[in-house]
Amino acid sequence: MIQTLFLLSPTGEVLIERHFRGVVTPRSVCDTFWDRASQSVNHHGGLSTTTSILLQDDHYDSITPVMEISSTTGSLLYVISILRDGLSYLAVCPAEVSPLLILEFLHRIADTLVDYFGNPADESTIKENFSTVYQLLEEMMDYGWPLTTEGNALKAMIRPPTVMSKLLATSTSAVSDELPSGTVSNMPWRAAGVHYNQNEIYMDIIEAVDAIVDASGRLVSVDVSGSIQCQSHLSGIPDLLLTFKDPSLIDDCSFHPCVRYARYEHDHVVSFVPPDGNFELMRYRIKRDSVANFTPPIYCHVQWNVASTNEGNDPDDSSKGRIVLQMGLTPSSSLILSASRNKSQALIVEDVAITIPFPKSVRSIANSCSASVGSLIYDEAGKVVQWNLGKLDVTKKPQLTGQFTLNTTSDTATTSMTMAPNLSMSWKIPLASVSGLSVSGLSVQGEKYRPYKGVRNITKSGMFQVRVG
Amino acid sequence: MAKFVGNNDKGSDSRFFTTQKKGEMHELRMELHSTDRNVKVDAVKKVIASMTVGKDVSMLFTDVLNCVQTGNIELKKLVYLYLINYAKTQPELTLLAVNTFVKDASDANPLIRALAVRTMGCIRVDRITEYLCEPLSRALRDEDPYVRKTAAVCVAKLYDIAPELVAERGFLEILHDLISDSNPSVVANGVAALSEIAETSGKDVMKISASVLQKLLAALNECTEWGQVFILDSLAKYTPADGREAEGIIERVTPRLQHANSAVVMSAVKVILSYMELMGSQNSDVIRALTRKLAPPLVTLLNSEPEIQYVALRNINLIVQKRPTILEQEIKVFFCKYNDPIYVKMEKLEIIIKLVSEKNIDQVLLELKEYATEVDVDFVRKAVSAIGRCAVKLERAAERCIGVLLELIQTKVNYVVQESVIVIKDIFRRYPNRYESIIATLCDNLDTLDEPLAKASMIWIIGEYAERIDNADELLDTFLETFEEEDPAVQLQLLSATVKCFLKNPEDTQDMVQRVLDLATEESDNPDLRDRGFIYWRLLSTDPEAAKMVVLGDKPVIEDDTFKLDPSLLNVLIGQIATLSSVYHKPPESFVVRRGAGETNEFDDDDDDDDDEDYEGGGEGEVDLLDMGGLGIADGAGGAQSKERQVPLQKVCGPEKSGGLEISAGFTQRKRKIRLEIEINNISSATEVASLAIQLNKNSFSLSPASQQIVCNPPVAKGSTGRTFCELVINANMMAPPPAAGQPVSPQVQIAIKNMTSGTVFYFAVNCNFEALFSADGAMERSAFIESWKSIDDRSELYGTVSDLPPGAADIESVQKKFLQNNVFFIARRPVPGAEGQEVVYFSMRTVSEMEFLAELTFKQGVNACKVCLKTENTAYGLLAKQALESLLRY
Repeated sequence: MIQTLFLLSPTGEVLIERHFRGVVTPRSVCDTFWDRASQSVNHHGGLSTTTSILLQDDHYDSITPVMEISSTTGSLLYVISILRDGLSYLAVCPAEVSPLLILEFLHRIADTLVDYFGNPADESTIKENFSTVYQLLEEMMDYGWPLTTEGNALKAMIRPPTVMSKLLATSTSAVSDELPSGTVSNMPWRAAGVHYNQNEIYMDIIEAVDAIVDASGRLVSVDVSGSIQCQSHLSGIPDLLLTFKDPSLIDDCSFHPCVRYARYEHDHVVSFVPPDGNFELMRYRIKRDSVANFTPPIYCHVQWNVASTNEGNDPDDSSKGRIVLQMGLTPSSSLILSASRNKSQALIVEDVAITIPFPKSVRSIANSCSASVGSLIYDEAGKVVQWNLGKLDVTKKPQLTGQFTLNTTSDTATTSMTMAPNLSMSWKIPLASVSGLSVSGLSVQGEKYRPYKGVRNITKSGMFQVRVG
Repeated sequence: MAKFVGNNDKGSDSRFFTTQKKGEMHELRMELHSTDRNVKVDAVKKVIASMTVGKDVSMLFTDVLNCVQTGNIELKKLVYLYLINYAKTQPELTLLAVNTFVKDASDANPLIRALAVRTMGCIRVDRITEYLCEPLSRALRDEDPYVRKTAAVCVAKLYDIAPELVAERGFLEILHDLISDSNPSVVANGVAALSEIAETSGKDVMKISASVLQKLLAALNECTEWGQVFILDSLAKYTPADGREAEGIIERVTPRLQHANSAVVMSAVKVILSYMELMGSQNSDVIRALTRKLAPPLVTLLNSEPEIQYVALRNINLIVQKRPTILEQEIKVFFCKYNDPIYVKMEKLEIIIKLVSEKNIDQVLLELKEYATEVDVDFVRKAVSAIGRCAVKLERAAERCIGVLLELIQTKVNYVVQESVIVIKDIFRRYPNRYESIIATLCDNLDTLDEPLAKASMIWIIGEYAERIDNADELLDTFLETFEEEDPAVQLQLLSATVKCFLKNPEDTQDMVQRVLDLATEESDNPDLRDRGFIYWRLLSTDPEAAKMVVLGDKPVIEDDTFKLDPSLLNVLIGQIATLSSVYHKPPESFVVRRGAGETNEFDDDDDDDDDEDYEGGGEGEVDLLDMGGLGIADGAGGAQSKERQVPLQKVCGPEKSGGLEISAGFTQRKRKIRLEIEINNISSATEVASLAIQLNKNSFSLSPASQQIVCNPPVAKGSTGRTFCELVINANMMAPPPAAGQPVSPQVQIAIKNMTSGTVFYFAVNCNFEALFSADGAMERSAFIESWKSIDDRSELYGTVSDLPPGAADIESVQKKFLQNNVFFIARRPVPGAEGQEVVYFSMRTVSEMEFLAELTFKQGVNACKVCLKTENTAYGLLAKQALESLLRY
């Protein structure tokens, strides 16, 4: 299993180092890792998402999450890594191991840090809370094995820093003296003896649309995946039963360990005793034929022209380019309104943003574009422009126009076809469900109180990509 | 306290990282002894902060340890954290904590009990281990599951340090019992510990019997996600008795496919796929149903984080090779998204190629064409190459693929064109004489090509289709201008292509072919090129018709077998799904860690290394010099120098290394005893050298000192020189590992000396004079000699001539006498028939370590030289024996 865990800062500095097996992994392993990671960032010379500060969830791109590094003692080590909020989590394993288990576990650690210290759990967060981080790691791992990974159980043992405890500085201990009951019960995810005056449970059914739209607006591929995020504040040990109107829409799903899978397989209902607080109840994928008729809620027309200006007279060969982008609502989108049944009411599309990764040969993108609505952010190093429109207002006819100059040297003899970038688009539509999956009932058993129950649908873009050219 | 930088930082831990000033250790020490608990906690936190940034805070060990006597769990945890880190370097001090551990292990609070057992397990100090067993055995039966689950892990820790203790105490049996524990976390950790022990020990401690199987299956539903992974992985190693049992287990495992944790899903897939193999063909309905069930969870994995996708894709790569039907309908999910990381895109492309079929080829081609316009060069190239592989794979789609490739060539993007040319060559090889119409387009892009592989491919095409290209000879001619600068691959292709061209059109290309053959055979120093050049030349000059048959003959048709795994390896890897071997597509053996691999004796590996420092690297046979100085007997005065041959001593150690002594040394034999003669020249050591201690490293001659003590009598004062010796004996344990086959052994003997007067230890190496090892009773019977001489293969003979011998040294009688003194025994002597004045003399010698050497010396009257021929079974020492004879001859 894991011999050593390293946490590296965005500049490759070792923030946290824990050895679990009596063997001290030399830090040279981190150096090797970092060398490879930083090399890969730009080694293609092309646009990689890593170079862009605008694209979230950046990655080292071409270094693989599993790699071999030989240590100074000559033995081979396997380094399994993830990158979250700029931090590299490195698990060093000396022998055969389940890489997925390690990856899941590293993500779990990162999730826990977010859970404890808020989003994002980045370098400064770690430095501010290093002793809590150490205690957490100590509790989450023993001998390189996952030990306690359930948020509820952890919180019972190590109190998360709160505004209050920060004010009180170090006068109170962050560690509880009591053994959390959650670690000993047969429901490791649920703490015992939870009590709320106000019992409530909220469920967000969030569906994400992964799609590729080609230049003519036709869908190349579409995939809808959803997740049900819950916030549960229920006393005692409530037994919940969630039923769907049309469970046949679901193709495949995966559940939180609290869900009784046999029951789902049999009756297509979700029966569970929820953990306390925030958790993800389930993830699912919608059957592809159910969304075959999907049309994107917004369209994006792109005109992309590149023309050589000086016909080779100038030794400094360059061409001028022009981009025009128009956005609008698709009149006949298939999105189902679940909140208001009034279909004539226009959809509200929020958080609209478009990311335009310009070709690397563009000389400068700074202030090259202008937009009728919204704001523009430039990332000169990555040659990326992001257009944030916020809530889409069609009456304003959102349009972006840009002009730019391209270096066309002989070895990148490029045509307009190869230049055209692929845009990525993000948006969110509250109270809409792309699949039509909706809840028909949520009942509580085992407890006498009647909780407040809130269920809502949200549809948003996943990896939504628009091809140009 | 300079550490509180500002009010903003109050309460956050970052202040512990602020730079600390001088005297901080003292300050910390004061704080550690503070009576205020909060000050103490803060101080320990600071210590740990320093520890994490790599500062050495081990000097605070006792101070930190003192803080462990507390009821405060946080403080206790922090102290334990510190202890684990420094236990290795401060084992003696850690012992002081043993009492606390033992006490804490029976604390009323289960958290503390668990913490104590856990920490003790992490401290890998032998004497702690002794104290661990008792508390551990109690903890394994603790009423509190939290303690039990911690104890389960601790057994694995203990096994790593002292496996015999685990067996002795019956901890393995208790672990087995934990599999049926009422608490799922305990079950999970029990399984984990057992799997780990099974893995590292190579023993089947996890043996799955019918009852264990039932326990595991029951625990599968109950235990944590990590435990489920461990259970599924051990199930995958189990072989069900028959198809029915396999089906039963699969039924219990299938619900795991719906788990949120990808590791659980993948391990469940592994169990199902492995068992499917066993179910045989009579269950085809069941298998079909299972196949259908496997697809959705695999697809779902592609919605996870990119790192997980990567591992999933590497595994899916195996799965689609084994059972292509599972995902044949799902090719779309493998289409690359623009912001997929490159490592995910590359893997997706591989799977697209594996799933491409007549049905989806049009869609796939559209995708691949799209990828070919992206910015990442490697990805684009792989996409272009994928188009070619589709063409090779699907005959009916080949034309469409070529169409796309031609479109891509029109973009004139340098690397796209080059990659296209490379794959088009493969398409031509797959479908000969079908698509030559596109050659014209390719020829238009000759200038673009600057990579060897692309050039070579284009030249191959030109040569292969020379008769259809009007100006083939001209095209080749342009390449020939730069022949000498080209990459070898291009040169080889140019050579072949020109010959092909010549065979097809001899009239116009006579000169050209001559030039190429000249270039290849005379100008080049690449052996491949020259060989091929000579073969062509000879073929062309002797039999042009045969040349045609050879050069223009039909070539085997290629298939798309790139990245296809060998079926037997594939079967092995299917059983290894969700492991590192499935990620690397390498057999599991490559991931086995040899226990203690890190302890290899570095010293033995570089016997030839002159670096004396290496001595410290130490082999097992080495004894710590500080443990020496027992009852050494200073027998015999050092000055017993006879009139016998004086060994020339080598200067082996300078004064800079040895505290002012210059040491010369050499091996010799006196009164049947092997000796190391040492001459000490005291250059600058203030103290007299009176007594030395000596230690030899393992060496090729099994030499070991008879006594470790050497007395210098009289003592060597500053400015004087003294001589002493050390008697050596043969000790088989001191034998260095044999050198690689065919290599001679190292003559070096590495020696450490401690000057007992000054305490200085220094190291040096002496080359062994092999003659010193010849045994006085090594004489051989004549008949035995003859038999040995015949039995030894002539190939292991060593020859040499010793010339420029000193006057009279070539006299056979004197040689015989000289040799006898040095235990080289005369066997026979005879004149060489037909060679006037030449005589051969045979000698034999045997070393004290029972190695025999046979020698034949040829002398010629009036010539001060001698031919030496040596035969031995111990070929590695042959060279040394020969050198010994030579030096005796010269003496």
